[in-house]
Amino acid sequence: MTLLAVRSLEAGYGRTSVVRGVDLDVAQGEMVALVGPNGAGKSTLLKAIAGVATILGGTATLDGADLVPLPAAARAKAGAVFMPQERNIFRTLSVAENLAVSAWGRRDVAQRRNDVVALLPAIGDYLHKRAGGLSGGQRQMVGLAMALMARPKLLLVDEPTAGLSPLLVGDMLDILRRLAEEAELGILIVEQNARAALQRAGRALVLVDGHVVRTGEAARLAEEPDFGALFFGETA
Amino acid sequence: MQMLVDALASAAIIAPAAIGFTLIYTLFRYANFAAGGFVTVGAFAAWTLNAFFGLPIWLAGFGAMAAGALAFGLCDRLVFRPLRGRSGGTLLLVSIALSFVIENIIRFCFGAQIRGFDLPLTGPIEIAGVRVTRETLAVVAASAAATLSVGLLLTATPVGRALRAVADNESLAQIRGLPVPRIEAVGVLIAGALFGLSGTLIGLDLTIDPNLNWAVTIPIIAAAIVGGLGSPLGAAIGAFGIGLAEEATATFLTPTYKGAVGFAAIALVLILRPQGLLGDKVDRK
Repeated sequence: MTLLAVRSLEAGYGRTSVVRGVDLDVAQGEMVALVGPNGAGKSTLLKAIAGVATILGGTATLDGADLVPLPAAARAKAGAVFMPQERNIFRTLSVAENLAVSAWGRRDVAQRRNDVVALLPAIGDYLHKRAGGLSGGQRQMVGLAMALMARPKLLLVDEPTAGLSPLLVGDMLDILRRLAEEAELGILIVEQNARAALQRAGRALVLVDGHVVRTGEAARLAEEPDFGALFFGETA
Repeated sequence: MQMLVDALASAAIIAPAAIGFTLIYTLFRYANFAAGGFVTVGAFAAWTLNAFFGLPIWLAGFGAMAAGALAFGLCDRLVFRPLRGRSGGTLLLVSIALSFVIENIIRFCFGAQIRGFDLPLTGPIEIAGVRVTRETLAVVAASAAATLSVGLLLTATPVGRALRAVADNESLAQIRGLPVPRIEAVGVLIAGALFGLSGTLIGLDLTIDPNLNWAVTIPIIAAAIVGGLGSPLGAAIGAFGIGLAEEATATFLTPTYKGAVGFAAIALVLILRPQGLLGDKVDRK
């Protein structure tokens, strides 16, 4: 079942268009990878769906509901939850407090926290530590846990492995895939470790200069002979 | 010992306002030099309710907190909110200008006369050789209660956690679905109420002077900087440090230099420990 449907999306910052005419779908329980060279507009596309960057044209619907007129907070409440690449935790709060504020306005905060700890058991070990004092991998895990506190339908994840050691890259992507499968989440992920992401995603889109230049089954895309050239932006 | 008690009284007066100052700094990243102006508003609001309308001082104190919250809330809505996103320097200059406007409005409404609360005259009581007035005890108790309440609010309530989250990372707070403008408004009202409380406490321990503004602004800012900008507990500790330094100056040098203590403390802290006692470490540029 299609969860996110994006059609002819134009997006950017101010009046400057970075993403041009993008179509994409994400189904419930599906992990879709967005790959492409630096500056292709991957993160901007994610931010536009989340309400952080400006949508200049086209449509974006979640479960049939129009996301475009909604501010970022309302899109999160509607189920489209964004996990930014950087500064994705409240450094001065404890991990437990980070989780609690991420379920603002909900009455079942404790239940949600228990559910998230059940999904990401490692969090339980540092629940009462100050988030700013955690390692890079732990911080990314807390950022993910915070996003999950909103009980999202769709998770928009921007480079979750940035700054992580190669060992942790695979772990993080495996966790995301498991979440898509077990928690029935739709996940749209932008990932710099393209091959690692394609090994785990169901489908992928290659974005170059704001346009989708290739789309299909992730594993097949990774094996295409011109994949490297596409990833590095050499479309010829 | 007597000096410590006097320092505690001085600290108790400025501690609530210093906490309000640091709360506004962490939320909006500007130093509000109009803090003393809002303290003066609180002092005159409490005087009006107590001496003019005959309300008991504790009730006048709550009224002053409401007046401080209202005055600061209104100024934030009309002056500071339209300038959100501008540099801290711009907002600092605007706050200085606002403080002069407030000072002159108070002079226009109440004249230049120094006033005092309508309280029964009581003599000091002696505890272990230290003389202390009932007013001083009330000032310290009210200030401690306010400091503890704000500390509890910030650490043990959802609103407090949300305030700290917005102060830490406003854009992430928006992404996580927090109603940022409403939370900021709560922070402004709390800070305004704390300014109003400091105004009442000044009236209880000293006198109510329309020229109060700058006499309290510098110690308030010094307390917040000494304690570490962004730390309400630090602001309270900083207030005690400033109070102690002021009383020591008055005792061992001359009371004339008491007003310079705040400036000296700011300079020393910025040179020796820019993050203050409890603030997060800052990078020198």
